[in-house]
Amino acid sequence: MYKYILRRLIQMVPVLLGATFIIFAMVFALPGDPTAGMCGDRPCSPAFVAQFRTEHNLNDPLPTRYAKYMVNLSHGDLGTNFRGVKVAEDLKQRYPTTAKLAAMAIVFETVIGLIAGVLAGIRKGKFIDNLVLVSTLLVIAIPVFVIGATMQYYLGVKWKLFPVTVSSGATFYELLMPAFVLGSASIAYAARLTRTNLVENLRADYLRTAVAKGLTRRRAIGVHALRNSLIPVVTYVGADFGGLLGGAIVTERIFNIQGVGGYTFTSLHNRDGVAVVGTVTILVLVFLLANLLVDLLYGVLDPRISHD
Amino acid sequence: MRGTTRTVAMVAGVSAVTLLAAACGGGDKGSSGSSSSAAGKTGGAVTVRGCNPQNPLIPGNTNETCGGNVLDAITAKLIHYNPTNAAPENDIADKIESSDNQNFTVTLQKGYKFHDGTEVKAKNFVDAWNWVANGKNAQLNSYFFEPIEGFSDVQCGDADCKVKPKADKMTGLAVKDDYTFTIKTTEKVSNLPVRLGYTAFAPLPDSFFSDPKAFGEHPVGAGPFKFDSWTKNTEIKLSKFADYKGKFPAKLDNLTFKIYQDDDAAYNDVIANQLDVIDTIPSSALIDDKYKTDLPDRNLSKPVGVFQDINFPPSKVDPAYADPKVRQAISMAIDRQTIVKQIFNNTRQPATGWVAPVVDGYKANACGEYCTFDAAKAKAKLDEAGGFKGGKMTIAYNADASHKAWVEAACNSIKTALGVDCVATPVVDFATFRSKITERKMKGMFRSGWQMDYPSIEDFLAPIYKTKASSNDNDYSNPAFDKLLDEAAAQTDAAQANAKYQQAEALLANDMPVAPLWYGTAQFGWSDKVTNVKVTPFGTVDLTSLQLK
Amino acid sequence: MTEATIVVGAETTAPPGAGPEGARSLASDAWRSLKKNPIFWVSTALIVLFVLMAIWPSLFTNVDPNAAVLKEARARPSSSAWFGRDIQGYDIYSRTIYGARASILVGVFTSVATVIIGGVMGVLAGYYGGWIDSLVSRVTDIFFAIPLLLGGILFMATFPNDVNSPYLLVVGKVVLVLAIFGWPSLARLMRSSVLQVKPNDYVQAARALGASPWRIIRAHVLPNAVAPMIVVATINLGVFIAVEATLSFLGIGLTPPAVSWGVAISDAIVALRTTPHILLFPSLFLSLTVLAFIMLGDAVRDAFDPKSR
Repeated sequence: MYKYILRRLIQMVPVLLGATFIIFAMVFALPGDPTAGMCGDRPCSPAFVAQFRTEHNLNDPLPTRYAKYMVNLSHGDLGTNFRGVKVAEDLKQRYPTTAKLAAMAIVFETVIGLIAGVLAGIRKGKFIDNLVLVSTLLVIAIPVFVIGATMQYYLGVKWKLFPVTVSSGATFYELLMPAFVLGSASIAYAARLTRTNLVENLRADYLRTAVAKGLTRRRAIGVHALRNSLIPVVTYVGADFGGLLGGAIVTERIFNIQGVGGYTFTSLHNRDGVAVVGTVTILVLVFLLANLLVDLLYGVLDPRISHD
Repeated sequence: MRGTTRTVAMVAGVSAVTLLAAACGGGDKGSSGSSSSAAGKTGGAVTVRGCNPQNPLIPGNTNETCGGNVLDAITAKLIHYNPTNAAPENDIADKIESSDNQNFTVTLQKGYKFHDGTEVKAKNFVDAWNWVANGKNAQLNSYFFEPIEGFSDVQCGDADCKVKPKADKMTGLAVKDDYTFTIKTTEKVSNLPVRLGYTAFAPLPDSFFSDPKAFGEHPVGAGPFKFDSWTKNTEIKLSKFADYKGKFPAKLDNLTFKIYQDDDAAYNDVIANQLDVIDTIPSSALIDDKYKTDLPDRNLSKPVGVFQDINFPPSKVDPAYADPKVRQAISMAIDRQTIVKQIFNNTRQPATGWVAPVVDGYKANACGEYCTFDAAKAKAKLDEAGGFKGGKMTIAYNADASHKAWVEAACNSIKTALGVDCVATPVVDFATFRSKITERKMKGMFRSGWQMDYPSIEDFLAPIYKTKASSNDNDYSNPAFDKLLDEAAAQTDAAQANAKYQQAEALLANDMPVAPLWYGTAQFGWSDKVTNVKVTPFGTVDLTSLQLK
Repeated sequence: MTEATIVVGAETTAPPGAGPEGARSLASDAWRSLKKNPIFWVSTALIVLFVLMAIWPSLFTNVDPNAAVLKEARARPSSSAWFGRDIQGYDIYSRTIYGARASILVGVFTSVATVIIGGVMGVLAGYYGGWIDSLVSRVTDIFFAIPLLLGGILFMATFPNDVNSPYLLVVGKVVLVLAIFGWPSLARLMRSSVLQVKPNDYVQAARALGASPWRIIRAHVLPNAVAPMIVVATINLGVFIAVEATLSFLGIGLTPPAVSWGVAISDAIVALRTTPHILLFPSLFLSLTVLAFIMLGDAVRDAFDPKSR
C-alpha cells in the first residue's frame, strides 16, 4: 500500500515538471511585451521598462528563467507578480474561494447526480428515466456561460431569489448558484454514469441471488447494487475536481468571484507569467493528488482491488 | 493618460457582458455636473466602487484610475480642477505668476498640512518633482516633467540605466523660501499652471524619501481625506482629515473604495443599495437606457475629456492609406450617428473635430464635411484618389475590452459606402496590441483613444500629432502644425493661445492623420443614501462634495 | 489490480463481445435494434439537416449573412427577418444558417483529431506496456492535468490570428487547441480497452503464430477495442462545439470572417436583459446540434452493448 503511494508520488514529479514547463514555455512565447500595455496609449519611459524587465527576470532566456523559477519553487517560493505582490499571498487569498466553489459544485454533482441517476436506473424506460435523460442532455448541450448568465439574470436580478454576485467573503449562500452552474455539466455526467452502472448491476447475478435469498429489493439495491455502481462515479467526480478548478474561469467571471480562475485570466492578459505559472502549478498538483485519493478510495469501495 | 490605461485595468473587470460601451460612455450633452441639489448632511460613511490599483500608491507612479481615484482624494495639488467645468482653481497655490511663459514663480498658501502633521513647504514640491522625474526611480509619470529645464540631465544614459543620470536635480526648479519656488521650462509653455493639478505634481512629505516603498502601501498626502487601510483585492479605506485647512474639505467622515472585478456586479449592488456610487454602468444596462429605469433619479450621464478615433497606419508600414484623400473618404464613410445610437445607445457624442468639447479652447466642427457621413461623397473622394490599392481594409482592436461591436459596425459602414471589403480584426489583448503599434508592425487601421491628462486643448494635440511626440502612433509630421503649436505655447494670453491651437487643429482636416469618431460621456449611478454626486470632466466622482442624504 | 483497469472518461461500458465473428453478428444485431430506435432516427435526421446547412447554406437562405442594417439593429422577429436582427443589424436567421459550417467543422475535425492522437497513444500504451506505457501514460497525464480552458486561452494568446488568416486556418487553430488538450481522455479509454482485449485467446493465438505486432493490432486488437472510443468521440463532438462557444465567450475562439454560433452567442449575451431573441436562436441551433450528436452516440452505444438489450 505505502509502496503504491510512494510510486504514485514519484510518478507525479515528471508530470508536474512537464505540465509546468509547457505552461511556462507558452507564457514565455506570448507575443506582446508586458510593459507595452502599462502606460495606456503612450509608450512607457525606457527607464521604467528597463527597471521592470530586470526586476522580473524578463531578459533571461527560457531555460534560465525556468530553472530559476524551479529552484525558487523547491523552496516553496512562487515568486512575485507584476504588481509586486507575492503570488503565494494572492493564491492564499484566492484558492480557498475557488476550492469552496469547486467543493460545493462537487457536492451538487454527487448528490443531485446520484439521486437522479438512481431514480432513472431503477425506473428504467419509465417517465422519470426519460426525464432525467432529456434534462441531462440539455444541460450538456447548452454552453456553460449561457446557463450561467441566464440563471444570474432570472434567478438573481429579476426574481431576486439568489444573490446576483459573490462578495469577497464568498459566503455559502452566495456561492450556491455559481456552484450549481459550475457543476451543471458534471451533474449531467454523474447522473448518466450512475444510471448506466446501476442498470448493469441490477441485472447482475449477485443481485438476483440476493433477492432470491430473501433480501428486500430496497436493501438489495441500496447495499449491493448501489455500492458497486458508485465506483465509476467516484472516479469521475474525483477526476473532475481538478477540472472544476480550471473550469471556474467562466463561472468566476460571470459571478464576480475572487478566485483563481479570474486571477489567471487577468494575469495572462497582463503577461504576468509568474502569476499564471504559479496558479497552474498548484492546480496541477491538486489535480494529481485528487486522482491519487480517488484511486485509494477505490480500495475501500471495492475490496477486490488492492494496491499491493 | 489615465483613461486609456483604464482599458487595461478593465481587463480585470471586463464583465460577463463585454460588448457595448467601454470604460466611458455618456449621453445628455449639456447636463451640468451636479445631480441633485438636495441639501445633504455632513459626516457619515459612504462606499464607492473601486478597482485594484496596478502599482504602489505613489503619485508619480500611478497612471490608471484604480489607484488614481484614491490618490486624488488623498492628495492636494497646487491646482484644483473645478468639478463642473474643469477650470483650474488655486488649491495649495496662492498664486502662480509668469511674464514670459517660461519662468514661473509659485507662491504657496500657508497652513496646509500633510496627514503626518508636517507642513507643506516649497521643498516638498521641488524634492517630489525631482524624485519622480529622475530616471533612476523609473516612475511611470516622469514624462509630465519633460518641459522643465534640466529634465534630460536627470534621465539615464542608456535603456538599462547602467549610465546613471548626470544630475540628481532639475536646474529648472529652485526653492526661494519656505513658501515660494520657481519653475523654468526649456521652451515656452503657455498652459503650465493648468497641468499642475495632475496627481503626478502632488507634493510629497519628507517621510516619503526615506522609504518610498512603505509610502506606496500607506500613502500620505495633504488632501481632504487621509489614508487608513488597504486590504488587497477587497477595499481601501479613507477618512476625513481633521486638520485639513484648504478650500475643498470633505463632507463625509469615512469613504471606502470597495474593489470589484466586474462592472455588472457593482451595478447590481447599487440597485440593491449595497454600494453607494459607481462610475461605470455595464453595457448590458446601457441598452435601451435600462439603467435609467433601474436607477430612477439616481443616475447621471456627462461628457468627459475622452476622444476616440481610428488611426491610420504610418505610410511606411502600410502605404495603402498614405493618401489623405483615402483617409478622408474612409472618415466620410463612417456613419457616426447611427453607430452611436445603435451600438452605444447614445452614450457617445459624434466627433466633429479632434478636441473633446469639455476643454477650454474647444471649437466645434474643426473636421467639417470630412466627419459627416455621406456615402456618395465618400465614394467620390475615394475614386478621386484612384481607389483603394490595399485589397481589403482592416480595423484592429484589442479583444480584451469591449470594442468589437463598434469596430465591426464601423467596418460595415465603410464597406457599404465605399464598396471595399473591411474586416474588424481582433488582437488578443492590449499588451500585444500596443506592442504591434509601437514596433510599427500594425498593418491596416487600428482603434485608439485619448483621455486628457489636464483640461487643455493642447493636451489633445501636442502629445498625439506633433512630430515625434510620445503618442504619435502614425508618425504624422507637418511642419506648419508644429510651428503653430510652438507659437501657441509662447502666447501669454490664453485666448490667443487657444486661437493658435485651433488653427493647428484645422490643419488636421487636410492631412487626416486619424479619423475622429466620437467624444466620451460617462454614466454614473448611486444609491438612495447619497446626494450631491458631482462628476468631473475627467469622468471621476468629486469625492469632496459627496454627501449622505 | 492497479490503475490499469481504472477507466476514466465520461461514460464507458465494457467493450463489445469476443471474436471477429462475434463482432459481425453484434454489428448486425446493433443495426437491427438501432433501426427500431426513434432517437437514432431523430438524431440522424437532425445531423443530416445541419450538415446540409454547413455544406450548402444557400439552400436555406438567400440573405447575405454579412449584410448589416445597423439602423434596424436588435429588431424583433418579423416577416423581413424571420429571427430578427442582432446588435449589428445582421439577419439572425441567415447568420445562424451560415454559422453551422464553422461549428460543425470544429466539432468534426476535433473529434477526428482526438480519435487519431488518443487512439494511437492508447494502443501504444496498452499493447506494448512496459516503459512505453509509462512514458505515454505520463505524457497523457501532463496534458490531462492542464485544464482545457486554461490551455486554450494560453494557446490562442500565443498564436493569435493575423489580419489575413484564411478561414480554414482560423478554424484549424481552434481545432488544434481543442485536440491538444482533449485527446488524453480518449487515450486512457483506448488503453484500458486494449488491455481488456489483449489477454483474449485470439490475440495470444495470433501472437503464437508469429504475426507481426502491427498485424495483430490492426486485425485483432483494434476492431475489438475501438467501439467505446468511437462512441465517446461522437458524444465529445457535441461537447467540442459547445466548448468553441465558450472560447468565443472568453474572446479567443473563432474570429471574423468566420461566422459561428459560438461567436453569435457570445456577442448576444450582452442583450440578454433587453432583447433575448438575439441569444435564443443561435443557442437553440447549437444545442440541437450538440444534442443530436450526443443522442446518436448514446443510441449507438446502447445498441452495441449486448447487456443493455
